[in-house]
Amino acid sequence: MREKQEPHEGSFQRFDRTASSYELHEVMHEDGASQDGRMQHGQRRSERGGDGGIATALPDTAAGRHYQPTPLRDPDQLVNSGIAWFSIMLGVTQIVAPDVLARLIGVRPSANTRTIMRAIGARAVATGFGLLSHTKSTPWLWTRFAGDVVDLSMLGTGIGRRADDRQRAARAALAVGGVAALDFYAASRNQRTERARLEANGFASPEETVSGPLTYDNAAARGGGAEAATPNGLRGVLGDDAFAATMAGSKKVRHAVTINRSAQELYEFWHDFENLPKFMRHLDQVTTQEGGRSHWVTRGPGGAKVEWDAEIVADVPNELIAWQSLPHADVRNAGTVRFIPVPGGRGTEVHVELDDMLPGGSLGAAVAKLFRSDPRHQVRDDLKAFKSVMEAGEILYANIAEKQQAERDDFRRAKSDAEMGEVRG
Amino acid sequence: MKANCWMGKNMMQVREVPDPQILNRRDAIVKITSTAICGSDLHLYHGVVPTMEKGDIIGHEFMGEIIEVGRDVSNLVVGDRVVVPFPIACGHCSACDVGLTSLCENSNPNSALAETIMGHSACGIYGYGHMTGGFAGGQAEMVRVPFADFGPFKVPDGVSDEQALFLSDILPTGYMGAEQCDIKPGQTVAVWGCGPVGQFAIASAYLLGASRVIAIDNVPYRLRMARERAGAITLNYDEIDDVPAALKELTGSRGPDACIDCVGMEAQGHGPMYAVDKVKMASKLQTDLPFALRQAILACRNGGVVSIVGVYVGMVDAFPIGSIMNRGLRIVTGQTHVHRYMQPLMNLIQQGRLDPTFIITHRMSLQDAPRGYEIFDNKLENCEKVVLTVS
Repeated sequence: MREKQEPHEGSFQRFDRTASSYELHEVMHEDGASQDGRMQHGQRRSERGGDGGIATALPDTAAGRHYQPTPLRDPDQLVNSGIAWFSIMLGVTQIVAPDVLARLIGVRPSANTRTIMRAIGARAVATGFGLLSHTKSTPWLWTRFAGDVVDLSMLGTGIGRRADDRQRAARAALAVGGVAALDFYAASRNQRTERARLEANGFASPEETVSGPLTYDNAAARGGGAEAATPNGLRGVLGDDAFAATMAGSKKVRHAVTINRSAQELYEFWHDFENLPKFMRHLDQVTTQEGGRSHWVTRGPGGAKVEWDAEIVADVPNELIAWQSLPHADVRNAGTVRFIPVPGGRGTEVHVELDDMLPGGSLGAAVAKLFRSDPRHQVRDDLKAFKSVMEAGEILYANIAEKQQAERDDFRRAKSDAEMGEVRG
Repeated sequence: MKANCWMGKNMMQVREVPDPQILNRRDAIVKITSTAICGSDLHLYHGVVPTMEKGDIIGHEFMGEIIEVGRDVSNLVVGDRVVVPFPIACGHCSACDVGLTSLCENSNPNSALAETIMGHSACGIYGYGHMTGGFAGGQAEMVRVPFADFGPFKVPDGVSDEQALFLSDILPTGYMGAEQCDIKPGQTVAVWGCGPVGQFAIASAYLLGASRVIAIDNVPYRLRMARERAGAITLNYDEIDDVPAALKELTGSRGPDACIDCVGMEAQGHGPMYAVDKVKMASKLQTDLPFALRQAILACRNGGVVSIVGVYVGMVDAFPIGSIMNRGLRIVTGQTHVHRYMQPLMNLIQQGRLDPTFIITHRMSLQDAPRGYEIFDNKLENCEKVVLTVS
């Protein structure tokens, strides 16, 4: 027997503290940034930050920033518009039928009450429209609350002496009190949210917050014209006014998917809008025309054709395509797709933002019905299909029932066999 | 054609169903010659896997002959003899690119459902519920194989059905269970479960250099097979109160270097903790019963590896995360990336270094599939593995 047991050859590597046998992995970035280069990167950041700064490598432009998702739907907005409409309706009633309302709250109608009632009504209508204007909600809500308090005190002074008047007044006070509580809740909630938003950004200037798709500060991942691919790229391309016009009052949906293909391949496939029906299931056909224009066809319930024209409004090769329907179109929509290469050759992020079809007359309403209840699901499914087409070359059916369902589908049946075959086998 | 269908809890029925068709251009139709009942099919049988629908065709271990190919399948011709991996994989996404085929990003049409339950979706699987795509399975006379230009593995001449069949799932699964433990020569490996996957995990651990493999189960004939055919040191948990303590004793208090869970979501055991788990399962407070996994974690040596290849579907309660964190354990797991193991394991079979047929105890016809489930599930007639042949 051996005196000392030898470890199996190559099986266990002994750890030696003194010899630094454990090596830290030195990460080299894809663009070949040297230690110096990364120091510069850190210095650049520290200059922006003002004090100290970070000396380590931060390859991502979003690193060290605060991510603030742009809310697709403001949760406060629903409560606020509810209050606004209530305010307007009550206000109008007070102006049109002041006596009825006076009796209802146990106050004897007179010229005096009529004037006061109408003044209160006018105030309610004004604050209602103020709230609906979607500018700062908080001051309008506090105005409403202050009005509620005034109303309550006036109720106290104007009550008649009869017992049922008192009863009515008590009920009215309860109702106004309830409304006051709701106004107080909404106002303070709005105020909190606004403050939280301010505080979240408090440490950072606007350019140090990011929203929407994050880009990568990586020479290898960037193919020039990087300006357009930055967050708010569409604003950059369209200019502030056009951007605001495109997005005002819109119902936006967003989704992103990573596809194992180059930005160029994906851009080129998408740029030919005639390819869109291959993965956008609700579309029947898109024909491209001169000058970036295209003609879109889908089908309403019962097979009625719905058509509109659209044009490309921004086009940065391999990076971004934005389109919107022409002003005269029955159906209004706008969309942006961004292609962002992932560093390390790990595919391309495809970010889509759709300003969904807005009702444009009865045709628009019919079109709206075509979409599933949640337009986010549609974008998600379409992008999944896009990924399948680009990677696997086909969209996989789980079973015959699913294929038959698809064939029963008006839109798909409308497609020619050749077109179907190209993608779906 | 005839197919074995899930008709509800503990109910299988061979029914007449429509023949499969080519639905996509990369599809092929395989006429099945041999198919098997997998231990994970028993989870379906027991009705504990969500998203099963009455009439679903079961089966994800199958092989046979190509009888029709889609327009885009150029590497297969009618008459080719193939064994088909249970994960459906496109071969072109970033997961497939690096060989992680069970994480294919394009093969699950119901990925949205899977995302709701698991956060992200994994691949589509034949005959395993609608969360994994709702694809028809292979316990049938014929099956549709999607992405057929990537999945099916051509069986070399001279290799029998029984030698090749288990490349579809359990042989690569047992192998991956051991491989991902990063076993060093001389190490001790413990394997929970002596079903077919456990047997292959034991054999693979030895192939990968383990000096001792300890197998844990309570079924005497399965322990005997692990001892006599796979070469394990066996441990019957019916005879031992405290399995981790017994493993400590067997390893000089150090614990096994690697622990492999080949049991999964319907573990059995003894004691108050097990009773509590059963109550939680029955009252739907957890979807999976982590009794074997918990033992594997507690038994593993400091800094060791816990490998999970038994199937889990949802959530467990009382998971010993403190033991994992403080003792620096590594958890490695996954549905098997079958595609990458088929050729190397076929090489071992052809070289005679691995004979996967030793687990087969029952050979019956597809017609008798329901009886096969009953035998396999109740461990009647010393059943280890049922192979169904289709004439």
